[in-house]
Amino acid sequence: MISVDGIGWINRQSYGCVRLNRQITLDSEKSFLSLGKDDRIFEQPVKNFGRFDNISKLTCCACSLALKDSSIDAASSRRDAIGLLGTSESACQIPNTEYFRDYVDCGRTLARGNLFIYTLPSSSLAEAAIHLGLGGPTLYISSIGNRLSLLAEQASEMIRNSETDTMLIVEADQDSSVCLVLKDNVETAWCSLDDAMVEVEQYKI
Amino acid sequence: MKAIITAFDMTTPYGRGIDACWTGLLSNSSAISHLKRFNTAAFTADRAGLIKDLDTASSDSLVWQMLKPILDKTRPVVPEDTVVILATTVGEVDLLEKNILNGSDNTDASRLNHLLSKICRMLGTTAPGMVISSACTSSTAALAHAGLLIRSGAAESVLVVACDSVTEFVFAGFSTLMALDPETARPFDRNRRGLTPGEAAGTVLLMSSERAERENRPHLGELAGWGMSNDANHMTGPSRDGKGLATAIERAIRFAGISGSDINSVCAHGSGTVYNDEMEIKAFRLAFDDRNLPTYSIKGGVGHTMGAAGLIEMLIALKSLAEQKVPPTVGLETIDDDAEGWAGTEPVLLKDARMVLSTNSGFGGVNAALVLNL
Repeated sequence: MISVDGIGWINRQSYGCVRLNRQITLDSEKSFLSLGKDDRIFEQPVKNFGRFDNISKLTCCACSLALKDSSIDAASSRRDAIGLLGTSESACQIPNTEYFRDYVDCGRTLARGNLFIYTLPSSSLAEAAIHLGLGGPTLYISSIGNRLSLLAEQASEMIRNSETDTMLIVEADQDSSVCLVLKDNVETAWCSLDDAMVEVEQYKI
Repeated sequence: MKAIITAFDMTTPYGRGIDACWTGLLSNSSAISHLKRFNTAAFTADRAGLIKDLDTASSDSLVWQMLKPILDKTRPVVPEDTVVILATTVGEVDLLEKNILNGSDNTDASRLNHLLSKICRMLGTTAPGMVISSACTSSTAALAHAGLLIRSGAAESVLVVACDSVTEFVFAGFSTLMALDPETARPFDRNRRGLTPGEAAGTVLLMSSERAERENRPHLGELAGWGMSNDANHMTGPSRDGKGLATAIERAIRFAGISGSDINSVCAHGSGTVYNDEMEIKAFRLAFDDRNLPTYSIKGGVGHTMGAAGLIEMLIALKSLAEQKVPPTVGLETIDDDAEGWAGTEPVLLKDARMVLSTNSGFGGVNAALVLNL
């Protein structure tokens, strides 16, 4: 049976790990987009974190927190096969608009490479995979309706069919991100998928 | 449950249908041409693989103009309960371009889910569809996921719809990244300097073997295995050692229940960039224990069709198997030392070939591999 082994989240008010019962409330002076190593989110500094677009920053944070919650540390060789499915309501609408508007404003002669690389829906997932060493399938999946439930269904199929034994599913938008670690292990199951889907709703602000 | 290909269609810069593309590749002439769709004076290249007669002034997006005739033809064979998977990188991004150039803030029309809804409405399907995007492996990953849904019994019929177009949006970005060959892409060539963007669209209808048989559907091939991986290394460049792609290939071969020695040829990603092609040959050497296999890329012929590349290349790989012939790599003149014994400038005849491999890699270190048989 597929179950949830850890949940990480970040939003404008707080961030944390559900299983570890760790919640850190942000004071009003600090932006949730400037969190880093000192905030106990990452085990090591994230290269070029300041250049990431917002969704990539939030995706990276939520995935790191979820892995901590699931006690999968950075040195674990298990990360080589961990897959990552992501979704968002707007896909790349905001980065696409920023990139092309900037290009037009510059006279339609030179685009900015650092804006261009975030115009792919899978770019935020790639940033997380690179930093966290996730070597499994990396896909952006979206649909109309409950996107996180869709990801859970698709990730469960991938685990059941042995494409990988652990999957992260992450939903990220401009204001929040939540990530679940899915595994197929009845003995160590912490939380059912159904319960987790209810739990995560409170973190999507 | 086997995943059987029961219908397909495609349009590429060579023209409509797989035969146009196959004939073009065998003729060893490229369909890439000079780009007049937008001003390229400031860019590092001015060539692209373009579909004829697309109208940039139309209110329809470029990909919708490509897809409409394909979906029209496909509609009669698509059951209502089919799960539609749209595979693309940027979809109708030319609508976003137009809105921004017209000073509008509303860019909603270019949302990927919007395009998915249009496709489902046109086909009359009732099952919830989905968008899958994974850079230049988008349609390879979508086909893999379609195979998974069928093999697991979660769906009996899945239609993968793949598309991407050549836009100023994409061309300017590749130019900035210095990823474009100033001439035409030359995959596996010693003097290759980058990719040439291209556009294409296509569909593949996959069905469970049981349903395909029950409904007496054509058996055009089998998606026998698939594997995906991430280099977890760099956003815009592949891992230099090829291990990430080799892992995807090994997963696909294992999933198909065969060994590497059962694979008879490889339709490679072969983008024409220095690092990609070098990495791929290393990956093939790792995956096949240095056993040389006839290998080719179609991107010197049609350009790099981005999210559509995997689907178009899978269909060409199947055609290659059916014809027992490997096409030449169009654009290749001087074979790079690394690719010696793999890629070639002439067609290669196969003998009793039964399994072929098609691979793609892309931005963010993504890799995907498909194993196919007839």
